[in-house]
Amino acid sequence: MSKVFVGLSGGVDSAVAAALLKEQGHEVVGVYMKNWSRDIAGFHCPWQEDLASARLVAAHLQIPFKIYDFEKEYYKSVTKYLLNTYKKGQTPNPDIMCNQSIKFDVFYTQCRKDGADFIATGHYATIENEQLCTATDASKDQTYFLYRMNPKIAKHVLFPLGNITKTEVRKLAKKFNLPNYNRPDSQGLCFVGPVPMRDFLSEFIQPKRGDIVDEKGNTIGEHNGAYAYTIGQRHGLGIGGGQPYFVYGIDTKKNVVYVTADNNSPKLNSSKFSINDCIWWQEPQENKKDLLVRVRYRSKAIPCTITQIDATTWQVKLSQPERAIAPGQSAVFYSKNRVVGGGIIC
Amino acid sequence: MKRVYLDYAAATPIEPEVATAMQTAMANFANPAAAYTSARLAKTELDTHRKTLAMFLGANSDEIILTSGATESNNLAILGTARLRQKGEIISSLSEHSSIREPLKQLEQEGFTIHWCPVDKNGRVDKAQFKKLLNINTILVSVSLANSEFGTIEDITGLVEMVGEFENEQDTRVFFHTDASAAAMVNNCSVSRLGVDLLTLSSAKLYGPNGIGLLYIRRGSTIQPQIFGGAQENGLRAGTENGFLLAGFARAIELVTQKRKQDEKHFKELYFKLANYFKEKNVVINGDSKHRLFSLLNVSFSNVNGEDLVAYLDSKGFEVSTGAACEVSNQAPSAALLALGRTKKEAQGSLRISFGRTTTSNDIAAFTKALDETLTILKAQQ
Repeated sequence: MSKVFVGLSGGVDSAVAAALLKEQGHEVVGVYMKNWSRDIAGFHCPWQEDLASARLVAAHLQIPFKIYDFEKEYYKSVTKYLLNTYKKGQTPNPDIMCNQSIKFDVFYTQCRKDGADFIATGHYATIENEQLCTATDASKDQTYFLYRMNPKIAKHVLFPLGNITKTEVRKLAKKFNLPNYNRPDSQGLCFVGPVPMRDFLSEFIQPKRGDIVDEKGNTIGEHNGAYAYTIGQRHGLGIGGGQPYFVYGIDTKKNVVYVTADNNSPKLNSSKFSINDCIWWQEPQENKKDLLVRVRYRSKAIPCTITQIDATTWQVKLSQPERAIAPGQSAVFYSKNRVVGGGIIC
Repeated sequence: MKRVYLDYAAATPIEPEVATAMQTAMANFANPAAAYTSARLAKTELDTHRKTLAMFLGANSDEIILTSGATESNNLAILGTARLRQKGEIISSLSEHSSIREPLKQLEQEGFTIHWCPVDKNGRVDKAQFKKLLNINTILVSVSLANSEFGTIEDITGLVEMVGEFENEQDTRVFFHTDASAAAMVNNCSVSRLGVDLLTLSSAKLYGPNGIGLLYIRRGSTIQPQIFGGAQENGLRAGTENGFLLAGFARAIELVTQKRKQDEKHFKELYFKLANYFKEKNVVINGDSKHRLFSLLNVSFSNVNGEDLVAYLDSKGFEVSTGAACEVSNQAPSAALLALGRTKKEAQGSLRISFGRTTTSNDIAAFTKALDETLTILKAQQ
């Protein structure tokens, strides 16, 4: 029997994870991580409801309950990263950063300090022989968000939901009579609640008018800040006329957004890009045969090859062009069900 | 699972007779401000019910301003008094509900000086301190008749007398407001006995519908409206009157008067049964032991978290709270309990159990059994 600290978010997944661990005979402790509590732009941050729900789950399972306050750490490592990346005209992924620097760093450290043998979360992923592997439920697999967790702590991490499907999780929640069994899955920004990213950003970055320019160099509209746009984005360009446009470039220095009316434009699709700031679970091999890559969560895994450019940079060649590869997002490599590693698209 | 509700201080059910009165009143939907027959009928109904409310307080109908509930009444009393006078000082206490505290904090932002008078260990305003705070710039005092969190009943008459003497000596005028929402179920709310200028009452704590309350304003006490529009409620609270909520409120008030004696006896029986249980366990009971509401009991544990207790009891089917529902969600220790001199730990280890007309001795026995089990589990986890 081991002592397992489970991160309880108030949602169904982590509650079922805790219930399963308890059923397996572990000594389980439930922990709510308070990462964010501020309301943004008229949107209510639901942390109190989440906390209350997590506490009810712990009481129902009769496991000790703790609250860890990581608001400062979260702001420092996730919020600032998010804002800086947007300011650079890139598209950050706060979930990946939260896993890397909060859940599998400060949370892990605190749990171990408080006596945990293992930490567990309600993520859909598995760990086999200390290697990060995909979940049985491929549609819910969250390894894309997890690849940046420190491989060295893998032997102390449990993902109890890795081998079951979301449907089964819902059923188990009912079976265990969990008080939050019918709570809807959370949406929007993981930490702020249902806030559109643009509203969130406008709290921190001063809106500034700029031009929307087409492929021929004509100014065809205006925007309120290039930082808020993402490569491949179709909606919200504020251009009249009914014809859809797609963002293919963002220049935050000049505050210009570049668009094309051609959905099949080569500017939107590429089969080559670079990554840096890599994390490798396995030694990267340039001519590995079965290497696949994902450039965003839930996108199709595409065959690829990788070439090292310098100490920190790798070039990725895809077997077929992929749409809207956005700098700031992660490219995550897979070999069969194993995560090989990944890096930030630059 | 049978659920036992023990949070009547947060909300009461609607009595069947109240529901019937509301159902009947819904038939006439006409706007009472209009000129035709059904409107006049609606107006007559309003007047009758308003009179019922006025009689409960020993007041005149024109002194009753209908609002959406205690929070609005408290806001109207406090903001309306202060903003008409534009400057001055206000005295309240450290153990007030957020619907008093927050409008006062707002006034602080607007340039008014707010004095938060300390309370003694039983939760009553410290009279010596109170006297010191009264000065020529004082325009308003707001102290609740009963504290909804720990149940202490304030000596409002005594405070009103002190203010009266001060007014005479200094030839000045200080408004006295009291929130009687928590007290009205059992305690006499006669405004002439209390001597207050402004008094808040809520239907939702008296087995009436949610969403309606009143502010009593003594004749000649001018305040400024905070909601503008039509000329309803003597021009002090715009918005079409809600006839069926008012019918329910009035019927609930009549039942309060009718059932007062038996309610009081019933609450006292349950209170002493539960108080004995806590005394045997050496658990601190908060608030005054004599001048108090016997419909609720607030206790402090020094070694367990109140929120955890609430969660465990909920999973066993018992519905209680850590304190006033409006305060629960902010996760901070109760300001009211800190004011009583409780430690931060004790304030966070608080539990409020409140009874209703249908609560039985068996409910209390089952509750104490569940609490015993919970405490055993929580202690084993430490």
